[in-house]
Amino acid sequence: MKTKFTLFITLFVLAFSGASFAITRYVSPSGSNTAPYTSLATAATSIQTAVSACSAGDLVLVDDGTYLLATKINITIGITVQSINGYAAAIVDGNSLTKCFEINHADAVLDGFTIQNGSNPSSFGGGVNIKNGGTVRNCFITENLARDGGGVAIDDAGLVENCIITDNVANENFANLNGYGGGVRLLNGGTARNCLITGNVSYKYGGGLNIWNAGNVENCVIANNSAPYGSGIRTRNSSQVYNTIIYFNTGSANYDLNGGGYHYYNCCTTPALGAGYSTDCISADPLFVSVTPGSEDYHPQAGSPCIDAGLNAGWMATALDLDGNARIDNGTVDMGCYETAAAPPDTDGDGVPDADDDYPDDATRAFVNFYPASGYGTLAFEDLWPGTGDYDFNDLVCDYRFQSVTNASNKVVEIFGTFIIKAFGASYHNGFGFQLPNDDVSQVDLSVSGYDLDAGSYIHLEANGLESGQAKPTVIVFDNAYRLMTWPFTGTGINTTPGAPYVTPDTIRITMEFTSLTYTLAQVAIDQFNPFIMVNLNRDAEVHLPDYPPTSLADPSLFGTGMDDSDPGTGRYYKTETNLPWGLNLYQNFDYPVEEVPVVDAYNHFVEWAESGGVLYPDWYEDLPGYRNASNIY
Amino acid sequence: MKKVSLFIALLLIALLTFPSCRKMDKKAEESASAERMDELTVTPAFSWGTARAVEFSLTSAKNGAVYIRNSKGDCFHKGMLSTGELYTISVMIPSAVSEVKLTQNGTSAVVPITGDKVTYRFN
Repeated sequence: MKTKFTLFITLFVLAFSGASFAITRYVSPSGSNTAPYTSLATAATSIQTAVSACSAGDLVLVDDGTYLLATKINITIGITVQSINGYAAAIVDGNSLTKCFEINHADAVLDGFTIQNGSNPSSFGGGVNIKNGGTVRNCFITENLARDGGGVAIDDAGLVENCIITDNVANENFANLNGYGGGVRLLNGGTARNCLITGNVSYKYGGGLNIWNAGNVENCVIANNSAPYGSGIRTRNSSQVYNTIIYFNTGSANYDLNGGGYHYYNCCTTPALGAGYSTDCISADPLFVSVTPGSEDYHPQAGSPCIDAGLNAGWMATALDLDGNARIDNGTVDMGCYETAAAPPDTDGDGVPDADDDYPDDATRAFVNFYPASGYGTLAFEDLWPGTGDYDFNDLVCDYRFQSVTNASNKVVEIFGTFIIKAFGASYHNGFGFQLPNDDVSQVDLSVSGYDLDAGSYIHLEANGLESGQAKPTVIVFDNAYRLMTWPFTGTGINTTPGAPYVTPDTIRITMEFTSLTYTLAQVAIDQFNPFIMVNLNRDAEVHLPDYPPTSLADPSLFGTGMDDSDPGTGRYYKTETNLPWGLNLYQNFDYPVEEVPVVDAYNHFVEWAESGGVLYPDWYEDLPGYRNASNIY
Repeated sequence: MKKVSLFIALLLIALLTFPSCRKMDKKAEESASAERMDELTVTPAFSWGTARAVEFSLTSAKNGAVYIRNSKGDCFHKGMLSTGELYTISVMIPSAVSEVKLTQNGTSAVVPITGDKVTYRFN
């Protein structure tokens, strides 16, 4: 009983309170024009039809299309008329017969239309006339004509914001004698905010904008308009202009003044505004991106005096600029309709913001690139070339990683190479080095340090640390692994025989300094380096990765001997007749096989990888379920 | 008896000191695997590489650092990409990676690697 009573009371209150629910109605050229127009299928075919069906608070959504008018669209209640897909898709055309819109309600909103070819040569507003309130936003208002306000005329109150108002004309009855505000006219009130007003013409006052008695202009760009009096703007009596750029207008001075009470705050125009009616204004060139006819761009360039030079106001807190970005960036609003994002911090001034700069306090360095990208790679060699061995690929196992440092111009400053000798299952005393893959880098522009060579080494270096006698820059990292890691008197070599004592790996860090900052990473190509071992202290016995060429010091007479099937004439190197290699380069840390166990017995998908040409199991070396025979891995 | 002991001692020392590293003498037949290395059928063109060089040609409407990363966030490359300039860089990408994420000024795009070249423009 109590529930029924409550329901009754609720319905009674709703019925007699005047409460109603907002309805969304549609307009579409392809609608069936069936009231109440609450779907696209039943949409009204004219905007006025849907508007006339509305109650206060309703929303009218307008589908894509061109709506050609015979009479103006009249909005007199508090509704929103909005395009579905923005102004480029919804076009209202006055057909040069009528003004396009007349709005007369403080809560009425018109959002997202191209408004064109409106005509009202003897009165107010060619595109839109706002009377006593209403808002027009996000519209493109062009090629309209009126006596007052070719594009937009606001009488007493109203707001036009975030609109592009261009190529409109104020020309009373086409007589070419009179006109008030080619783009916009404000009469006794009204506000133009965040608008680009350009290319408009008035035949008398205010090419871009004319204020008669009162009105506010906030954060607009008024440029490239023309009129006999006030080519950009004419302000009469209680006109207030804030944060507005008035420049590059023609036919008369950028601004014209009449009566008293007008004031300009934080504006940019020339000639300089008088001190008695302006505050914090400037006359310097606003430095637009482009004022070239046909390619105008009224965003301020970097360094524009209009950036961060406006006067903040409360409405800006939630407002967007004409690009849809926050109206205030970096604490102080810009002059004009576009807000420039503050340049991110760049402490060293090298042009690379601190957030991207690996050396934010060092202008000579900017980026670090690692190869491999994450962690160490591994080089794994067999050392019996030109004979073949057991394919355990542990005769020398060396982890590596390069750290390339470049500057803001992408030129290489230095490269650090870290090499860790993890194991060598060999009796040969092997050395290791690498060569840059091409001769783009002049050897005199490099200085190398950090290598580990015996005092009486068989290796011979130039003064800059590169190896002598080489056609391409060549770095010898160490000459004898046995000298760097002490054999524990059991097992084959070091760290390959299960049960033999573990020997701590030896780490060598190479520094390659570029004395000429002219080389890019693409030229140095350190990630395509050519590593090799030198076998048993014989400098001419080199073993490289498959199809990597020997250095100048290798003995070419060994090619084609033993099991080697190299063919230098075709670029084929260090492969057997059955295309087997003597070395592998793993992009990540490689857990190598134990002594005398072939890699095919340690890694279960190595065979598929090799026989598929690398297509199958390209990650064969990873520690994934079913990938490894753990007992055969050291 | 002393001679026998000396012989055994020398033999042990020899075994420990010269632990059969001369693999030239090893025979592949020692492999217990059914799939031995010398049984592999490998095409001559196979490089045995675990990464391949991919050339990136990048342009942008804005200045800003460009990043080339994998899906885990590992950065293969970063450098400065300047307005209107073609930035070309060859980067070694692991063979198992089939797409990369390009990022500049907060804008990202995931692009597949279907060959040895990638071209992309940031707007």
